[in-house]
Amino acid sequence: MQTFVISPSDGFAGVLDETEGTVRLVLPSSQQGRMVRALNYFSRFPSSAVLQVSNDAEGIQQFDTLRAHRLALDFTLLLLDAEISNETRSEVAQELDELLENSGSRDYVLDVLLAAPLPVDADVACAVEAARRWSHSRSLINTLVDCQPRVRLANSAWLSIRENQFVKHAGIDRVHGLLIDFGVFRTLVLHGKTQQDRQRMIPKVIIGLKEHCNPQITTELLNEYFSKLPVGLRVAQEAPSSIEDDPLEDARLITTGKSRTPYYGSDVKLARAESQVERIAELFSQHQDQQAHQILKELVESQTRDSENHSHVVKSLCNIATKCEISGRRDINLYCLSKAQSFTTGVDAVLYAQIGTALRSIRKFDEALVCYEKALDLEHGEYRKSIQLDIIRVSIDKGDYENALKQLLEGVAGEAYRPAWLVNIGTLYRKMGNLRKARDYYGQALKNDDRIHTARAGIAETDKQSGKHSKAIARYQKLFRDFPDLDDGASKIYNLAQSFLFRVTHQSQKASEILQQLNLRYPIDPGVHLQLAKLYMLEGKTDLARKHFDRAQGPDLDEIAAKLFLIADGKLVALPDPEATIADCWILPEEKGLLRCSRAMIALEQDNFEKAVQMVSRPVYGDRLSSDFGAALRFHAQKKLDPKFDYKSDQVLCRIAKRGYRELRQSVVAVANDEFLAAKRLEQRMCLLLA
Amino acid sequence: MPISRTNCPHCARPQYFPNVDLATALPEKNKIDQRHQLALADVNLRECADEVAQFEALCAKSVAIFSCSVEKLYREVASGTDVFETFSDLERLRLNAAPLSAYNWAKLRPQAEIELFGSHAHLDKVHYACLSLDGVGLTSYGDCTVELAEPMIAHRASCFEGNTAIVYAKNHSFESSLRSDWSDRHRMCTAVLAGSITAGMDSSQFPSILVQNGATSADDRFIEVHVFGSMTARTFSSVRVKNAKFDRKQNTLLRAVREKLALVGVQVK
Repeated sequence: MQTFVISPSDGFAGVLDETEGTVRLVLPSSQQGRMVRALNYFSRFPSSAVLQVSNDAEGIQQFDTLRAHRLALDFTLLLLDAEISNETRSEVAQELDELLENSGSRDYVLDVLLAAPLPVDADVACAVEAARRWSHSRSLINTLVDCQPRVRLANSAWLSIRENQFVKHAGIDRVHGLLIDFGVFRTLVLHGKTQQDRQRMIPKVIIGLKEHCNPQITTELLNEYFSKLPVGLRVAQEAPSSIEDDPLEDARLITTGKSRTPYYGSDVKLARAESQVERIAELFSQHQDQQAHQILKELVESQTRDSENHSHVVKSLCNIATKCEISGRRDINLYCLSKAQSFTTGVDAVLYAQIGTALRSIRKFDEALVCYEKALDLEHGEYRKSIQLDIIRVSIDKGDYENALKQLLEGVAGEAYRPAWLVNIGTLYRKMGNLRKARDYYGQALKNDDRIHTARAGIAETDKQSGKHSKAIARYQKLFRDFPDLDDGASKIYNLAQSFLFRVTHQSQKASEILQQLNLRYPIDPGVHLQLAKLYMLEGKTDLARKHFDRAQGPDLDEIAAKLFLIADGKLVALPDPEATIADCWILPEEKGLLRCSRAMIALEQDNFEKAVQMVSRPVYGDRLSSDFGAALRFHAQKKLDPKFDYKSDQVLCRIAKRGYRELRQSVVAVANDEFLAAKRLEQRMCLLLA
Repeated sequence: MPISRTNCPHCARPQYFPNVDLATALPEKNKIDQRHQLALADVNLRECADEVAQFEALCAKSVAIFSCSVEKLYREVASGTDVFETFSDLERLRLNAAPLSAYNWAKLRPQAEIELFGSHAHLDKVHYACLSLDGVGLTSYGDCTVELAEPMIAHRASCFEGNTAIVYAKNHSFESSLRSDWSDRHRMCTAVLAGSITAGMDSSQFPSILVQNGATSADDRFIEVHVFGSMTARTFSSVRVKNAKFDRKQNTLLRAVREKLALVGVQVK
């Protein structure tokens, strides 16, 4: 792979050598092979695009594509330019028509032109007249003109949210650029015609962008846009925008006897397929599988009938899979993806990445890795970074932190200095128990961007892990004060963390207030119900606790935390082996400590003291409180094995007995006094306080 | 007044050009004086004072030019209309939103421009050109050569000894390089280039002393001109297009460019 820099407007392209800081020119051909300083190149051509390509030919191909896109935009603007003669304008319309045969160029132009209303000096009448003879140019200009009411609404929606805290935080221009780049304005304006379209639009708009931009921003934009759409705009106020409705085109068809162009034919087919995809996904989400399968069969047949190229059917299946994943139908998600994979053509990187993600969600990590690797082989554009990140995520999911850290530290093309990247590294160090390094990275991230709340939350978590609970609470409280407009996801996680800290510092009332509020906002969230269950159990409200525990049941429930609750409730539960490999069981390294404690609790309950000692005799990963809990349990088991065992011979136990966490301090003293029942109650409380 | 200001905080009139302010600062003036004196002393020794005086007089009438592609020329000419500016700004946002590359250009560039203009606030506001005596400039940047109209740039142009990007890449500083405002450009030319003039040299050779196309961009020798702020067709005094082989689309663009330039009285040769 090589780094290719392209500047289509300037007619220059070359291969960037980052180590030498030079560019070897590939285009223009008259200067092929000439070396220039990279800094010089970029200062002369500041709007250069930088891509990863496998060879010069591929780079030149990318150059040609982007040049065609930009020329299409230039010609469209020329077409609307009041200062050029009709003769030239007509020539421009013809050239534009040729460029628009490529749907990528058409999308590029619409991405930009639907992001803002046409200025008043745009010579629309002349443009329409000049484009009349050229179907693609005419369609583009018609679309532009017809969509102006909705363009104004979309623009006004953007202006309403641009001062929003999240947008400011991410950078107003950057967010605006991303919305344009991902075709959000185009999608909204072309497909969001009534308020009823809102729900259908959410996945379309959010999915592509979610890696780059807070989904809250796009949601706000959608809310603003659709709230401005008057009911009925779709039908009554629209001028004809497709060939079927266009009277001029009808007249031309009659006179020339020409049939519809394939472009429009495929447009109609595309629209039909889109609506079928929506319908199928909707039916699956409502568990009307039989009907959904029937329509799916029709869709597959229609999209494979006339063509050897199966890219459309593959895309349709991918889209259904995505929608089903969102609506919780993971089974259908996988079914559609494997069906898509069975086609001999049209299978692309996006499909493999999607399959990888689906496999990841059911913890088939090795298989997921294979898919991501295949996706990487097929993808040479910007999407590579996203796939590389997915591969890192698999390592994290597998608990292979060393490998994930290695990859993160190497960085993925240019990300290494970004605050979010530094936070990722910090979090990984924290999970590995290296709190000093974690703090360093969080600190670096904050130095680069003091508005990155994840770094501040990370520092609070390091405090929590080192047992400084009050300090961690203070940090979270400051975070909430400094970021009053946190997005929903972050706000929920930080509130849960704060409620845990209040619970662990015996401030039940405060913990309860937070959880009650979260429960109102997220009535079916398993995490919230589990925390409530633990809190009620600690307060002795057993029935209420069990009720919330029942509500927490589901695939997203934290398995180990749930088992700790059951142990505290006096139930003997089967626990996985903490040393099990990934093939046998799914345990993250930072969870191993707690798991060992839980198994030691069960062993104590079964009077298997040797096993209990064995479980907690090894140092516990990361968290100070779990580590101390393990030491207290070890003492309990040792004392059972050897009644003369004195905790004063053990430094850790001495510390716990003197200034350890309240329940643990009391437990050590109880065991020392042979009050094992009291110790057990305290240990059960610990199960509720931890995790 | 802070160097990053481009308008008056009291009456809000736009009138400040940081590049010119920096070039006319006393230390820069002193640097030019000193180097100019040294150059004159040297030419006296080499007995070519007349030739250098002639060179300096011609440089006082030098013009700022830049070369570019037809596509770039169209974009420059189209600037100034609402239609073009609205959407070219949006397109720029779109391009800038693309993920950053491994090459840390976004980091390097502000450093160079902060050194050059005293602030990062002026990124993208500067056009680069070079001084020329005969309307011929650096040939490597494209087939169209644009000569800038002096009344449109004299108040906002500054000159720099060489290629700023190359100088910065080498030295990470501009301290040892000369810069001047537009009116003092001839003295800077002498200070920088007098060494290349020899006794008996004909004035027809001076243009190639002021602009020397090298084998690589690092070998190009020229006086760089920084023009602060926007440009439109009216900023140009003439455009020269090489007899290059343009494709059909480029010819259409060129035709539109000719029409737009003709409207404001700029000739395309």
